[in-house]
Amino acid sequence: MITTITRTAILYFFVIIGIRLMGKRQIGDMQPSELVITLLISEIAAIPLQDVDQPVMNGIVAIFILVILEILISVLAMKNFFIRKIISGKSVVIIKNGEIDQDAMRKVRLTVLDLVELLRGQDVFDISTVSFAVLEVNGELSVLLKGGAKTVTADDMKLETQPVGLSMPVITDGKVVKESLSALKSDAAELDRYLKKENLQPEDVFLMTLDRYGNSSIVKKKEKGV
Amino acid sequence: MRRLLAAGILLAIIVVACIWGNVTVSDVCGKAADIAKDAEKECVSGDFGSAIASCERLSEYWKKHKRMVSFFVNHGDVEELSSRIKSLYVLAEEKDSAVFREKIREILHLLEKISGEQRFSPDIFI
Repeated sequence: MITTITRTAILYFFVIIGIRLMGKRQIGDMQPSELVITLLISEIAAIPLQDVDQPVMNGIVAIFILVILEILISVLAMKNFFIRKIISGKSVVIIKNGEIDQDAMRKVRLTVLDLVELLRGQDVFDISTVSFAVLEVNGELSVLLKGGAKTVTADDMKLETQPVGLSMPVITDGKVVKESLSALKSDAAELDRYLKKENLQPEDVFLMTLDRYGNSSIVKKKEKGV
Repeated sequence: MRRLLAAGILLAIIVVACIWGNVTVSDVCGKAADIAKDAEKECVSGDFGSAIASCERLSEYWKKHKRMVSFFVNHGDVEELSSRIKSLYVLAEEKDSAVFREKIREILHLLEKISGEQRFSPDIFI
């Protein structure tokens, strides 16, 4: 049993290192090669866990070789368009100037129902409002609506807007997040001033966000047992 | 670029570990095979006293290096070899020359298999 625990812990540690080395991406955002590598890593890590006769070293070496190959290929793909095309494929324009390119759909084996579903995923329920739709290499559909169907923006209306900064959590679950305060070039004294206005202590706050223009929002902690 | 550097360092570590594993396993298996061959020769010449001593030497040697070899080699093979070496010692004491030689050959075959798994071979494509 101790052997299993140790082997699992070792492999967990190395799988995390491998995945971290590959970079931060969610499953949905992965390129085809990244998805294959991730699936392979999970399969390879399982082998020494299931078969205790297999040396852990075999699993670790295989995981790292896959990670190294993935990094090398991603670097090569970044530098060279041809390699990128081979490894990741290329985006395909499905709707061009409001017209569905049926040949392109056949090429990527996309049915009309798939297209409608992907459009719905982009909050587009009327295909006639689409000017351009591009099927990206990760399988997502990027949509550009026709001018008349676009959401009106403040710029369209020529309205003046308040400056908006990145809102950061400065208190989470009663604890002050010092990294956020220093990123906002703020300090504990300024935070105290905000809290005093609301007659609160940091311990009473579940979440407090602040941006660099001083816009804040506070969610109070609920009392226990309520 | 930092990621590429990390990948390079990782590759270097893996290459060093693989070479080191290959050398260690080949070395341990080679020396164990030499001792086993000595025991076989002594058995053929009827010197069972020396054969028993060689078996003890082989057993000690394998016991000492087993853990290191297990780091790179299938644990099942390592355990099988350990149990065969133990049985070899019993056979030498019984002075059964024919069975003893057959067991030695099995051990040599297993050592060759363990050592061979670490080497690059075109057989991996078959």
